Amino acid sequence: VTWFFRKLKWLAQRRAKESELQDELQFHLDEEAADLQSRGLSSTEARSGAHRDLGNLALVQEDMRAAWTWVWMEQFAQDVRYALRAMAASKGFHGFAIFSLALGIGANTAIFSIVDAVLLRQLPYRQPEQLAWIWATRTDRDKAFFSIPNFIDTRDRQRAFAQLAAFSNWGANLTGSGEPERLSGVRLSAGALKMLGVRAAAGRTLFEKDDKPTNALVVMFSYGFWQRRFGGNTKAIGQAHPQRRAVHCGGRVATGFYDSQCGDRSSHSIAVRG
Amino acid sequence: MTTRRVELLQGTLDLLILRTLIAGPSHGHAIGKHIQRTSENLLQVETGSLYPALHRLEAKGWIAASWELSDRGKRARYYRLTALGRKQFASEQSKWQAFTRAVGLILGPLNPEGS
Repeated sequence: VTWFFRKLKWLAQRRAKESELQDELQFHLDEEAADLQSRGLSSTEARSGAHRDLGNLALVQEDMRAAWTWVWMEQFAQDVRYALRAMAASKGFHGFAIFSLALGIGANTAIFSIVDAVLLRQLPYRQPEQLAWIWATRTDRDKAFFSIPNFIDTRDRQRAFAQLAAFSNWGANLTGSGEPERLSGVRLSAGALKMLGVRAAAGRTLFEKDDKPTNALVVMFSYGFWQRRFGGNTKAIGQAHPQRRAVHCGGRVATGFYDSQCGDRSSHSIAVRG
Repeated sequence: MTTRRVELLQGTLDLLILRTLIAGPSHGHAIGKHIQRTSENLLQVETGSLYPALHRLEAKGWIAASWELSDRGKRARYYRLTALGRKQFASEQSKWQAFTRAVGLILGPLNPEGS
């Protein structure tokens, strides 16, 4: 490894070392010329004889330098410089080539992100390999939503799954404290969170009795939304909403449930009713 | 007066430089002349390969260089053997001797009858 540091040291003192190479070869030329002169040559003959003996001065210096530097590294640097010059010479063509590459790489990255999330990575829930998404069928289409009575019938009579839970997209306006806000989230049957193994970081998740239509709606916020809208205030949890008595802030979902599925879209919340 | 010249074998120049420096520190020109003289002018070291070889050996740490005054009172780059270089020379020398013995045995005096 010491040779490595010797080379580094040489590189650091490159300028001084360059002139040393010159001095060393100049000394050689002088010695050789003096030698030849002592054998009876004239001083000009001796000098040119010495030069002839040495050959190509620049080439010798290059070979001496090569002992100290990493030739492949220098050549690589040269290649890079050459490439940049060539690119500068025809900007349009190279710009287009780089643009095509960028587009290709970007498209691949985007596609892989989707493949990774959809196919490769497991869902962040308990026993994800046992999860399945089932649709209802109707005479006019294969993939139809379940009506709530249909869901209840299916849930109670099926034997293929240990549990069944329902969900649908849901949106609501949040008014009262501060700016009104449009929330988007999902409606869940009460058993869903328990089934997925999701626990509340604060407050509570859903109880079976929350499914009863006569009971108040329970809303769970995503962690991000709770932080953004309520500043992580625990007083926001378990509070009945002042304007619509039906809505009840039940708790918030642990980070990693909704957030990891949809990215941290902080406006997401989860509502429930039976 | 023409002398027969022998081409240096690949890799032997390093060995010759190390051997020359065992006698004491010396500058490039003197090293070249010494090799030429000691080999009875059979070997002539190309200047174009001598100096790169010296720097290669220095980079490897087998020899070290410093600027000193020459016999004529000029600044010259003197090379001397390092401890590492001395060790290297010993191993290179025994390798070379084994090699020349092996080649000598094969080339040996022609004797069609066998011994």
